Amino acid sequence: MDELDSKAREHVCALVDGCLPEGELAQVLSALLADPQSVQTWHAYHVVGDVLRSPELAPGRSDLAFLERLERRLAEEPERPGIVATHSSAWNSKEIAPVMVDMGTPVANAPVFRWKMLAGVASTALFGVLALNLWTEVNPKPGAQMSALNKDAQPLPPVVVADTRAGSMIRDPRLDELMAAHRQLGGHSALQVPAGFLRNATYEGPAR
Amino acid sequence: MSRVSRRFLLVSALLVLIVGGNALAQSAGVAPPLNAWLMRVHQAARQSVYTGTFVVSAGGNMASARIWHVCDGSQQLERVESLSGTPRAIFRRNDQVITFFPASRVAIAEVRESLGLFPNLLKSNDSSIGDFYQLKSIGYDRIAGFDADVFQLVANDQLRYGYRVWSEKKTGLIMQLQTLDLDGRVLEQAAFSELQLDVPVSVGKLSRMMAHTEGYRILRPDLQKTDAQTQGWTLRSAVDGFKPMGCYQRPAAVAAGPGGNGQKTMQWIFSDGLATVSIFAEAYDSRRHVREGATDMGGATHTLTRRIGDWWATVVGEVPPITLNAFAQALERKK
Repeated sequence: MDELDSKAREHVCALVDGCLPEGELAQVLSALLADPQSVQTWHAYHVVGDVLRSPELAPGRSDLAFLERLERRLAEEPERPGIVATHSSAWNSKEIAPVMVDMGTPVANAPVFRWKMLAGVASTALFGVLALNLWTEVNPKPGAQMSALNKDAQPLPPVVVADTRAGSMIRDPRLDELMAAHRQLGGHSALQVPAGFLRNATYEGPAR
Repeated sequence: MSRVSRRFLLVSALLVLIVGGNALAQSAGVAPPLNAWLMRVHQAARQSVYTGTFVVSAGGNMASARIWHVCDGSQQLERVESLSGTPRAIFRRNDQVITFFPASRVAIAEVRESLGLFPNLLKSNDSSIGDFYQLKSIGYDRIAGFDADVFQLVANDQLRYGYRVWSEKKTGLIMQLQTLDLDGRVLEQAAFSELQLDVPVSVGKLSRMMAHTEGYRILRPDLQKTDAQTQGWTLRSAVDGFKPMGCYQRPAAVAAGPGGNGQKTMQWIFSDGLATVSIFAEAYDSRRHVREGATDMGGATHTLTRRIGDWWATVVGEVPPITLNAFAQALERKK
C-alpha cells in the first residue's frame, strides 16, 4: 500500500466511501483496475474500515482469495454469446450468493471489464455483509425514545436511544468507530483489571 | 420460674442480643480505606491464576467469554475467547494486546498503556478517587460457588455512576461488578458465571498461542501521542474529579472521503479513577455531522456530539449525559 502515492490512495479511499464525484469515477476505476496494488489497497481500506466500525462487519471469508478463484474460473470459461450475471439475494442465509457468469464476446477492453465486474461483485458482497449485519443483528432493546434529562440546571440536549427493536434506525458507523476507540484506549479505571478489561474484551458493544 | 432462672434467662437474652448485634454489624461490615481496598482487588487480579466464564449484560444485550489468566513473576498473561458475537481471541501480556479474528484472518495488535497505570497511581496517594466516591460494605453473598464480600462505591455527586462490587473473600478478586445509575438502578453487569481458582494454566502455551500470528494480517492502529494544547484544544473549566490521562491522534475518518480536509481526529482521555471519558475532535463535515446531542448507546455508555465552529466534537464515556455535556460545553478551540 505504501507504494501508492497519496493521490491514488485518496481516490481509492473516496471510492470505498462512495464519495467520488461522478465525473471522476470512470477514470479512477480504470486506474484502480489496472493496478493490482490499488486493488489490494481498496480491499485493505474495506477491511480496516469494517474492523474499526466493528469486528463483526469484517468480511467473514477470504474475499480476495474468492476473487482470485473467480477470476481464474472466468479465464477458463468458454466464450458464449451474451453476458448474464445473476446475483441471488438470499441474504437470510448469511451466505454471499453464488455468482453465475457467462463471458461474452471478447472486446478490446475485455480484461478491464472483467476487473470491473469483479469489483462490482465484491462491492455487492461487501454491501450484503454490511447490510445484513446492520439489519439482522440489531439486538432487542425497548423502542427508540426521546427523553429529556432535567437533573441539572445545565441545559442538555435530548438523549436519543441508539438502537431499536425493529431496526428502524440504522446506527451511525462513525459513532461505532469512536466507541471502539474509546474502549481501546479508554479503560482508565482502577477497576480495569480484571473487570474493566474483561468487560471490554467480552462485550463488543451494543446492538449491531 | 424461680427468680434465679428468670435472671439467667434475662442475661442469656441480653447475651444473644449483644452477640447477634455484633454479627449483624459484621454482616454489614466496616469498609476498609478506599485506596487500600482498590489495591487489594488490583493485586488479586494480578496474582490470581484462574479460568472462568465471564458474562456481561448491558442495555438488554448479553455477551460471554471464556477466560484464562496466569501470572508469572512480573508478567501477566490472559486469554479471552468470545463465546458470543464475532469469533475472536484476545491475548494480553501486560499492556500488549492482540486480537485475532479467525474468520477474516486479521489480527489487531495494540498497546494499552492504561493497563499498567493504576497500581502506581494508587500507591502514590495521588489518587483522588476517595474525594468523589465512598466505599461502603453492604454484606456477603455467594457468586459462582465462592463466598464474596459485597461493597458499594457510592458517587458523591451526579457527574458519575456508582458501582456494586462482589469481591472473593480470600483473594479479593472481583467476581461481579454492577454499574448503577443515579437512582441506583443497574445499568450494566459483568460477572464470572463460573470460576476456578489456582488451576494449572500454562504460561508457555498462552505465550505460544499469542505469538502464533502466521496466516493473519496484522493491523496496528495508527496512533500518535500528542497533547491537547498542541492540537489547539483546551477545557475552559475542568469537570469535577476528571483528570487528563492522555491525548492521541488518529487517522482521519475513513468515512470522511475526499471532501474531508485530511485533518486527523484527536482523542483526549479523562478519568476520575473509575470512569473514563474520551473527547474526539475532528473537522466538521456537513454531510456526516448532522445531529447534535446525546445518544444512549445501551448500558452505561453514552455519547454526545456538538459542533464547535469548523469542528465536530464527540464525547464518549461511561458517565451520565450531564457529564458529557459538561465536557462538550467546556471544550474550546484555541487556534
